[in-house]
Amino acid sequence: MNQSLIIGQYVPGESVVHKIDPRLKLIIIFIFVIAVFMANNVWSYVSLYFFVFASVGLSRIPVSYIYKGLKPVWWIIIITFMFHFFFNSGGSVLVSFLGINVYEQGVYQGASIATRFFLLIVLATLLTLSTTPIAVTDAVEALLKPLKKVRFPVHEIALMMSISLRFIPTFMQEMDKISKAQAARGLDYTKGKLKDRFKALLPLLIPLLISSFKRAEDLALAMEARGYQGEEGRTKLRQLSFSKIDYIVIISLVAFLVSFYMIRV
Amino acid sequence: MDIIFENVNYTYQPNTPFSHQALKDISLEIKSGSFIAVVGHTGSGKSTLLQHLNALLQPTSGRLVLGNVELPGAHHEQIKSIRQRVGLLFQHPEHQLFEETVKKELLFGPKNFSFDLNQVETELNESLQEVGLEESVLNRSPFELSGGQMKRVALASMLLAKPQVLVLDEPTAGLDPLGQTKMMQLFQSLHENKQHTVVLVTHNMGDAMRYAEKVIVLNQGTVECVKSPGELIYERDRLKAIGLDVPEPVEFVEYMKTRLGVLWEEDEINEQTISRTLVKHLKGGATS
Repeated sequence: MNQSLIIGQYVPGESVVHKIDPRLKLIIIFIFVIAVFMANNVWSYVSLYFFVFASVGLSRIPVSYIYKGLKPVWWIIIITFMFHFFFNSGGSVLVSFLGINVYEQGVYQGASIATRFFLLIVLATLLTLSTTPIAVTDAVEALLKPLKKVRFPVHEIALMMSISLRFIPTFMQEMDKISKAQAARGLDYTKGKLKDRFKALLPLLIPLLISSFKRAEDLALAMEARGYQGEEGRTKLRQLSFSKIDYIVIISLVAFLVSFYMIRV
Repeated sequence: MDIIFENVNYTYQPNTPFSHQALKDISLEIKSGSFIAVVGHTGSGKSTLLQHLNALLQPTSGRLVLGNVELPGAHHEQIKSIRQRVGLLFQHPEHQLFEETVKKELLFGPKNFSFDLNQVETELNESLQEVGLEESVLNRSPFELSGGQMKRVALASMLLAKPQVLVLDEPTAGLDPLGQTKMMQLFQSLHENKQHTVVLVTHNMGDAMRYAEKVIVLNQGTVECVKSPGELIYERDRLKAIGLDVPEPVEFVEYMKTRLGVLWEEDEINEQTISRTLVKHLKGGATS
């Protein structure tokens, strides 16, 4: 199993961040994305960093864990930075060595794009770490509700989303089990020519495909048996409602946005 | 080949909030040619232990000796040879089938271990017979077969790779009672006639007592005790405390002792000792 990529893995907790209404969390992320692209001087970036690190701190999820989960992303961030560093030729020359000129704009652009990327990834990771997939889909459904007026199948989309999210871990487990079973039978997909390695994937993919079809059938039957008939007359076990925490979060968010706007040039 | 665990620890997803130590300081010895049962409650570390025997998992710390190979630290070729010598049958082996025909399925293992396939083909019928399947299934698709037959195909496929050690995870789960007995008898005959080492993981304490020479009881990642079936009689309360079924014969002896007032002075529990004691009791009752 791939253990280095953690985005999407919920870490149970009781922190403030865990308790925020998932709808509010999605809205915050949306606003944050806009804010990140509106930042235009050092202090505005500093304030965004402050916002992200404060959220991470409040969530009480170990920083080392989040850091480890970002490993696959570090490379993308570094490469983006390097690209701008060497190839952007705006502004005056800062340094020049071995015939390569590093320009003022290159450093500035590289740093700001890498920063934006980093901030967005950390906040998105934090969302998935502190919110159950079910809560996220509930929130998406609630936020998309207005689209129902134009006959957009909100409920169906939300259901599809929650089913796929629900079955990702099951799928991973199944994959792990089958690959172990085949490894025990001597299957080796880490050595040999590319063609052989590709062929060695078949003993994994076929059983996996068969079991997911079976599972889908079982799920459909189970839903039928419990009287599922789409959205009509359906009520929710967990009603989303704003609590005291949410109002405090909204007030601090507004305060943050106002000061962010003032800091910006 | 002898199998030796020396202070083996295993942790899943170390250094994360999900970190979970499944094996704690396990030290064990499984002698070549023995029949061992591993029992334990769900989450006791049975299946983690099992996967170590096939080098699918390697100790996070400690040492595991499998014949002439030592883990951790074995290289790729050694691990492959371990996988050939230790046949591991997972709990639902029917889920691992993928080939177009049963014949190809059977040849999958031997092919991976670079056996001479012409030679193996001559052994196909014999191995089918051994597991109780008819020759006619060879050219059928494994997906047309029933669950029990699929299990047998998986088993035959494992046996064709000529392992010395059979590691079986709940091999009889999902079979009808007759099929269960037959399959257990097959393992016993493989053990007796071909000197295979058998490691059986089971929930069924009855099976563990009937077939195994030694029973390893696991509890929360540690070895609770290693006993012969006969000695298990004295562990009734301990087994209950860690959430295990007490084997039926043991319960029966307990019932005789407490409810019928029978005097129990045998060392082992089996049909002979139980009937002998009952006869003694009845005779004694008749004379007094």
